[in-house]
Amino acid sequence: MKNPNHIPQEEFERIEQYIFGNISAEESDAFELEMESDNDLRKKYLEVKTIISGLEEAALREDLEIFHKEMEAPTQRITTNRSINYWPWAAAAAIFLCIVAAVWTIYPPTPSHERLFAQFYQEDPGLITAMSSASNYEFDRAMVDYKSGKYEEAIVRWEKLIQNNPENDTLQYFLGASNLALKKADPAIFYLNSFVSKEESAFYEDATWYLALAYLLGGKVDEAINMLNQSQNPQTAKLLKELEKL
Amino acid sequence: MQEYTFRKFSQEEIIKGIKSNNSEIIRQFYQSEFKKIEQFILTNNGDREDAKDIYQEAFVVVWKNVRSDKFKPDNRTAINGYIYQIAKNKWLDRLRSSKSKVNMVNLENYEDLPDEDFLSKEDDHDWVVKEFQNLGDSCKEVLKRYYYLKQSMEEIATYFNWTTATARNNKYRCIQALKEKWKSKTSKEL
Repeated sequence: MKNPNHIPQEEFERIEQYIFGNISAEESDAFELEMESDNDLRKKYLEVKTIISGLEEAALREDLEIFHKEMEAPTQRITTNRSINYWPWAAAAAIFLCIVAAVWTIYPPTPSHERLFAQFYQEDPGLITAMSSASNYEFDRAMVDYKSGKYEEAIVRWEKLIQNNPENDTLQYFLGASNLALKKADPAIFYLNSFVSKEESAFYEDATWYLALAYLLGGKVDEAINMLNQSQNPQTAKLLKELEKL
Repeated sequence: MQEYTFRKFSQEEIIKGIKSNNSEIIRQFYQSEFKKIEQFILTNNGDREDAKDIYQEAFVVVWKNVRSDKFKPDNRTAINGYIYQIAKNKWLDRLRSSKSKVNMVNLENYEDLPDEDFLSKEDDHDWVVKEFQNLGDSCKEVLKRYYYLKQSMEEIATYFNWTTATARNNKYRCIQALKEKWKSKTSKEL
């Protein structure tokens, strides 16, 4: 095709509906008859067909990239750990300590509950495959954002979904996790708090741990301790010990 | 963290899923077949990047052939063998070729290809595939939802908070944006 034809919107949509098979048999026959006598229409039809098939393949390829990244995510974490060269890290840590020392003298230190939060918090790595119904495209898009650290975008997408599924624990959990990753204690508590009475949920264990951390981040130490007493996380005992020192 | 829930789909479900671009089924089929092919490529002088590359090319071929009914299963796991065979052949072809990369479909060199009529249709298709990446995020999303996920204009409008008429016009505008790039491509070639 040398140059694309100008195809007005109405005509483009008519051709498209023919290609999708969304028109009646009579309309379809009439369209084919018209193409036989109208060479321009035939060219336009070929053009629309090429565009549609190209777009479909492009969209598939975009999905395949996402699916591939999902498979690689856990492996990457392992290989990164294996191949760490400690010297640059040590140097970076030394510089960091100097900066901390300098900042310490100028500004008062961070409140200890925030320091403890930073020490114990590690974000949830996200899901590879979450729910099993076919309507998960929206959820998955948000999960891709979440895993790329685009927590705000993930929140926007998931908040749209939760409007129709207010009791969905996967959505509640990841909305809580995203807010926590952004260090927004209040919305994180709002979403994670719904797990207190959901011991049957697959997310219960992680949710109670993160809820404790969200309370800690928000300076609500008593509530944090309360939650930690419900949590099965291996770090629980250690954090409780630290909290006693506060 | 909760366990990953992989459900094995039957071949019939996979074929149906590919034909309707069901993301969940395509994902599980994609992810379930990769390891075998990666293993083959890694033990035959390839690296992980080669494995990904070859596997994705093979996957697209299977997707196309299932949709056009070129692939017709003769037993219950034929599709698994089919994708493995295509990937294997593609890798062996690449190994056999001394200028391995040149013989592959190389989209970067698209503009150097001869502008022959018989190549035209296939080339235009490949060009659309490549150029899709350069559209804006909203256009990509609208077009993907409409043409790939087969969502209705109403569904797309709800997602973007648009009216149905706006969704319809925006979809057309995105197609026009793609065609504008096409024009500049052809004028460069002439």
